[in-house]
Amino acid sequence: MTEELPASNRQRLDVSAVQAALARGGAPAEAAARQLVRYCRPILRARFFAERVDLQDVDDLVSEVLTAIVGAIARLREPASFDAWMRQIAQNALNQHWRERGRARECFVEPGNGIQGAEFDTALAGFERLVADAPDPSNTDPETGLCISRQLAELQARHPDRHACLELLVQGHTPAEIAEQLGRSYGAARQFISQCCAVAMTYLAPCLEAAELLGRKRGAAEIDR
Amino acid sequence: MKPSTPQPADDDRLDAFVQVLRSGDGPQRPEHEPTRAAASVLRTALLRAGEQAAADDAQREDALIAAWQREGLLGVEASSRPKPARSILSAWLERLRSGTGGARWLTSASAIALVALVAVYLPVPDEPAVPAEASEPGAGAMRGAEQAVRLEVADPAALVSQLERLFAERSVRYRVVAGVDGAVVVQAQLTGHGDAVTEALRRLGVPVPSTGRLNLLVSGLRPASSP
Repeated sequence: MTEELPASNRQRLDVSAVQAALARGGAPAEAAARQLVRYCRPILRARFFAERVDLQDVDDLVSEVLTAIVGAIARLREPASFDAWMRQIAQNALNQHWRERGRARECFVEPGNGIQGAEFDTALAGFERLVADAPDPSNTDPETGLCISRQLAELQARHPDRHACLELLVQGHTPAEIAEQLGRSYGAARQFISQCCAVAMTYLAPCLEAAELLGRKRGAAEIDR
Repeated sequence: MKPSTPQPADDDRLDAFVQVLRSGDGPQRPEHEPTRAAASVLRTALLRAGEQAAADDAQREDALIAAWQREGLLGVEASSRPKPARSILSAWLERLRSGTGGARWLTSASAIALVALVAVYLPVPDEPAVPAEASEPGAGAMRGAEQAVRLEVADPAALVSQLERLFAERSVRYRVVAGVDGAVVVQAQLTGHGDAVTEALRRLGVPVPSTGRLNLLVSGLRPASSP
């Protein structure tokens, strides 16, 4: 039986407080603006990457939407509808983006690229074995740490949509929330999440393999001594 | 024979994995232990990478907030933001109320200045509306498009990008709304930005309005009709 998943533990945005602080100006407004940016940016990035916006355009588009939000948030009457309002602004910006580039909105392409949904279990099984055998990666040598950060940078460059989805997960968004933010059905989002996790594990696996090998060599050297 | 640990169902494993990714903790049952350990490794790696990326994000955040401050987006709402003339007027009223030098203000040439201030204060026009995405999408701009000066160019998107760059550099308040058939409406308030902006507009081949308010409908060149 599946255990009950806890509610999302991500930080919520107090929209009313942000509205009040932005209207006050000065330091409170700046702090509120930063809070707003940190809340919205990962969601908007994940959304735009999922819509296949070019890597170099995503941050510009995010800034554009954030500016629209800051400029108009004072007129938002229902703080509870902030997320839906933000999604609508993002959608308008996206429509404008595709129009300016003279092409129709690209359809969501199920991220296959050789990693199918079912492969989550295969990737997990292999990764579990590596984690059990390798030295504790949270307290690992600098070489493995460097390898992991390089691999994650590569993952972000090649699969920005998956990396952005993983970031949302690590920040505490539930799969249902991610489905809503990306405008996908729960089932599609869940499958996408499983693929994201599978890809991430395949990227990190070589680092753990190397760490395991290094650990074995060190163990052998100590026995020799 | 050694009893094997029961294997959780596939859905269970994904749920457990996601739960650990989100919160750092997951189901405590023994059969989930390897999954928890694996997810924990990925979570740690992602969090560390996130810390490094945060430095880049902080720079972008600073630039964005500085731009909002320049544009006056952080502070009192645009409609109620004090205009310069009003600020001087309130300073004067403050001095009158406090009684320090108020009499001198009244009896000197400042009476003339007061009249001038009121004259300046009264005709201050409303600031341009907030970006179109935030309200009814482009409704105001599309209404304005009917009176817009039409300009046909080979590449409307390129011209609009140049205009946007120019306005952003010169802190000109503007908005851009996509119209039908790839046409784009560009509206900007040019008053108070000197000749540099109008000169740059002329160089781009954009007709400069005498009113100081640019209202332009940029569209692509129409294909020549076939015989």
